[in-house]
Amino acid sequence: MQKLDGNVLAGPMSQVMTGDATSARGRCAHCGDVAALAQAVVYADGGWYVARCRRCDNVLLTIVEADDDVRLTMTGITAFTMAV
Amino acid sequence: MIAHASWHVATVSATRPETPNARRIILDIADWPGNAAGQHVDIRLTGEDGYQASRSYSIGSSGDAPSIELAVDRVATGEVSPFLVDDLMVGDQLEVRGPLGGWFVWKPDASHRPVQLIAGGSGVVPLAAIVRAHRAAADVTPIRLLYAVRTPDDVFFREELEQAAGDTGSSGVRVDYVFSRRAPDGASRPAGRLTRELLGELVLPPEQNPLVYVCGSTPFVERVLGWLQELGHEVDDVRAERFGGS
Repeated sequence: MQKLDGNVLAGPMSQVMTGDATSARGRCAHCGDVAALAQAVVYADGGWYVARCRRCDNVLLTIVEADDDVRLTMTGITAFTMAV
Repeated sequence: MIAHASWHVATVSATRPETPNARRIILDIADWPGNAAGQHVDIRLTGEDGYQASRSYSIGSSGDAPSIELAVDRVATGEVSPFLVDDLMVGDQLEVRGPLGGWFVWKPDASHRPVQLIAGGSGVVPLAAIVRAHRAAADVTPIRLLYAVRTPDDVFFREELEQAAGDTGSSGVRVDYVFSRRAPDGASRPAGRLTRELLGELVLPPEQNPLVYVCGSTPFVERVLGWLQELGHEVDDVRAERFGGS
C-alpha cells in the first residue's frame, strides 16, 4: 500500500464523472475541513484507493477499479462542488 | 478547460536515456486532446495471463500536439517502471488514460502570480512541463525552480532547464539545484540534503505571495510541506503531488 494524495484519483474518478474531480472541493463530513479532492491523503493498493481527510483522517471516499467495474463509495464528503 | 480523460492507444515513437537510471519516452496518441502543464496519465500494462498493473506518470510536455513526453525513473522493485525503462521498444503500443488532473497544473494567466516550483528527484517531470510551457508562451510570470537531486548525472530535462535558466529578461526562470550526494566541480554549495534553512534561502518568500508546487516522493513532499508551513506559507497556497515507488 502506498501513501499518496488525491491527484492519483483523477484517472479512477474520470470513469464515473465528467470533468476533473481532483480540483473539485468538498467538505469533510466529520471535521468540516473544505479542500480540493487533490489535497486528500490517499492510500493506494492495486486498483483500490482510500481517500482520507488531510486534517482529521476521516475516510472521505473509496474507489475501486477492478476488471470491468469501477465502484465509488462517498461516505465522508459533502457539498462536493465541481466546476462545470 | 481541461479535456475529458479517456483511454487511448499510444505508440512509442522514440526513446532515449534521460539519466543512467531513467528514460525519456515519446508517445504518439492519434486522438489525444492535448494537455496542460502538470497533468499526468495512467499507463496500464496487461500481461499474457491477463494480469493488469496501472501506474500514474506525469507528462513532461504540454500543448495541443498528439504526442506526450514521459521521463520514467527505474524503480528496481517496481512492477511497471522496469518494463518502461528497459524493455519498451519503439513501435510498441500502450494503454494510456488521460489527460488527468486539474489541480496540479499551471497555465499562463494575466495575474502573473509568482510561481515557486520544488522538485525532488523524478518529481521534476511535471514541473519541467511548467517551465517549458512558460518558455513556449514567453510568459513573464516570475518562476523559480528548486530541484533537489542526488548528483548532476541524475538531472532530468537538463537541456530544457538550462535553456530556460539561460533566458535573459523577464521570461527567464531561476533554477537552483541542491545535490544531495555529489555536487559538480566548482559548485557554490557542497553536496548535502535539502534543509529547512536552504529551502528558506532558495524559495520565494511568503511576502511575494507565490503559488508553490511541490512534487516528489511522499517523504520528500511531506518534509517540504512542513518546512513551507514553518516558513509562513499558507497551506492552500501550496499544491503538492506525491508519488510512491512504482
